[in-house]
Amino acid sequence: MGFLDSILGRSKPKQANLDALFLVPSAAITLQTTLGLTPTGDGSVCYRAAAGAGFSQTQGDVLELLRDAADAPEVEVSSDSFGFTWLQVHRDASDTSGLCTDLHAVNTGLEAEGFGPALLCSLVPFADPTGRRVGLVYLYKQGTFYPFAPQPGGAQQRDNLLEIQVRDVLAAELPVEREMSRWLAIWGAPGL
Amino acid sequence: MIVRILGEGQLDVPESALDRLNELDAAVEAAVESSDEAGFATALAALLDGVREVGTAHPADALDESDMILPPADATIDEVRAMLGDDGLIPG
Amino acid sequence: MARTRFVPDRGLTTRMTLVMFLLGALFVALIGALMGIFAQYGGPGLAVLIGIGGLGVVWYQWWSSDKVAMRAMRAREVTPEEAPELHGMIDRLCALADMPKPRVGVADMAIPNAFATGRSPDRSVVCVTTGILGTLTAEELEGVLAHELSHVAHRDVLVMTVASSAGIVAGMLASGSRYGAFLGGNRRDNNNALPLWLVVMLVSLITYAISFVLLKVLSRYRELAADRAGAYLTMQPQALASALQKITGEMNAIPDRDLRASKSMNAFFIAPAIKGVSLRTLTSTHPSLEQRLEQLARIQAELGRPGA
Repeated sequence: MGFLDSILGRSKPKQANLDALFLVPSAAITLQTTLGLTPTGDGSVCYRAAAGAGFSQTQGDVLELLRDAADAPEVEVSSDSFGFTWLQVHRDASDTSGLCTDLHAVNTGLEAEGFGPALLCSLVPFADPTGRRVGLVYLYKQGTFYPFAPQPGGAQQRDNLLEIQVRDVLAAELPVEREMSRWLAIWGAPGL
Repeated sequence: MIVRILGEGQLDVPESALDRLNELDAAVEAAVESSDEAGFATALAALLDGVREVGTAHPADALDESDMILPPADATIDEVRAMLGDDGLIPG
Repeated sequence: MARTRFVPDRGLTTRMTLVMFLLGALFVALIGALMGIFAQYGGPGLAVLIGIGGLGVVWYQWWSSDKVAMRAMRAREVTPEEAPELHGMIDRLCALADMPKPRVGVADMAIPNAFATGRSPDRSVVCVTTGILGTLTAEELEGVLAHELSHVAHRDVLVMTVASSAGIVAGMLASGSRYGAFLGGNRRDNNNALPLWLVVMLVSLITYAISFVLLKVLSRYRELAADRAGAYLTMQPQALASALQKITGEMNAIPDRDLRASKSMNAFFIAPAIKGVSLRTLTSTHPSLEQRLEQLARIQAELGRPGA
C-alpha cells in the first residue's frame, strides 16, 4: 500500500493474487518423487464470510457452479474457531489439476463479486505412507506458498523438519514464502 | 424510517407520522433562523417528544444507517445551526 | 476484472489533507515568527536552534513510541504460547492485510480498551487490556484488533507526532520563556518594545491553542479512517459496531478512578475514555459513537449489496 495512501488513511483492501495455484499439480509430482508425499484428493479455500446477503448469495452461486459440473467433486463448507469459512472440495487423489481448477473457480467466483480481499489461503493436503501429513498452503495476499505439517495426535505441534524439507524441495518450482513468521498455523484445517 | 436522536439511539418511525414530524421540524428550523432561543427550546423538545411517541426503539445490535439524525435534547441553538448548515454528522 | 466493494470516502480524505496541511503551515509560521522576533532582538539563529531542538523532541517521541506506551500502560508482551487465540487472530488479520505482524501486549487494566503504537508497521505493538478480553466476544475483539492494525498500517503515530510538532515546539517555548522572565529578560533595549519573553510567550500560546484544536480534528479523522479500513479488513462492520457500543457503555460504568489513569494515553484508544456523548465534544480525540456507527452502517450496506 503506497506511503501516500497510508498517510492519508485510505488503505485499500489488498486484492488477492490468484494464478499461482496452477503450479500445484507439477509440485505434487515433485513431492511424490522426492519425499514420497501423495495428494489426498482434498483441497480447500479459506476466506472470511462478509456480512450481508451479497456474500451468501455469491457463495451460493459458487457452490452451485461446482456441484453442477459434469464430474462434480464433493463439496463441503465448514467454519473454524476463528470464524473463517473453509470451502472443502474432494476429488480422486490422482486428479490434482481438476482440484486446482475447482479451487480457482471458487477464488474467481468470490473475486468477481468484490470479495477478493476476503480470501486468506488455499490448502492442498499431502500424506506419506507412514501417515504423516503436510499441507501446501497458498497465501493469496502474498502470492506465496508455505508448508504446514501438524504433528499427529492433537497437540498443536508442528513437524518443522518435514516443513523445511518440503520448502527446500519446492523452492525452485513455487514462489515459497521466505518470511517464516508468515507461516500461519492453521490448526484443525480440513484434510490435515 | 430510522431516526437517530443523538445521545439516545435509533428509533423506527412509521412513514405515516412523517408529515406531522416535518411540521415540528419546520418549527425548529424557523426558530433557528430567527435565533429565537425560547421558541427553539420548545420546538426541539416537541420534535423529539413527537419522534419518541411514534417511534419504537431500533434493535441495538442491528447496524443500519439512519435516514434522519436529530440533535440531542440538550443541544444549543448554535449547535443545531451548525448541524443544519454542515453536511450532517459525518464529514465529507 | 476484480470488482471492488471498497468505496473510498473522498470527503474524509480531503478534510484530512486540509487539516494536515494547516498543521504543517502552522509549524512553518511558528518558526518564521520566531526568527522574526529573535532577529529584532539580535539572534535569529537561536530560533532555528529551538526549532531543531523541538524537532529532536518530536523525533524521539515518535522513535520510542512503542516502548513509552508499553511502560505507561504497565503492559507486558505476550508470546504466542501465552495467548494463542490472540496471536492466531492477529496472524490471520495480518495475512489478510498483507502487513508485518506487530508485537502483542496485554495491559492488566479494568478498562476495556486497546491501542496500537510504534514508529512503523515493522516496529509496532498492539496492546489490549485484560478488561477488553473479558468484555468482548472473539468476533468483536477481532473487529477492534482490525481497527488497531489499521492505525498501524496508516502510520498514525508518525502522522500524529509530526502533526503535533508545531504544538510541541510551542509548548517548549511557552515554558522556556517563563524562565526568561525571571532571569531578567525584561531589559528594554529598543525604546518601548515588549520584553522578548512576553512576545515569545504570546506567539507560542496562540500556536499551541490552534495546534491543539487541529490535532483533535485530525485525530477524529484518523479514527474514522481506522474504523473504515478495519471494517473492510474483517468484512464484518457489525463486529466493530457492537464492540464500540459495549466498550463505550462499559466505559461509562467504570468508576472514575481508572479513567484518570488512562488520560495520557487517550489519542489511540479505541473509544474515548470520557463520559457522555454530545455534539460539544469539540476537543474529543474520537468521533462520537454515533458518527462511527453511521459510517460502519454505510460500509455494511455496501458490503451486503447483492451481486451485479
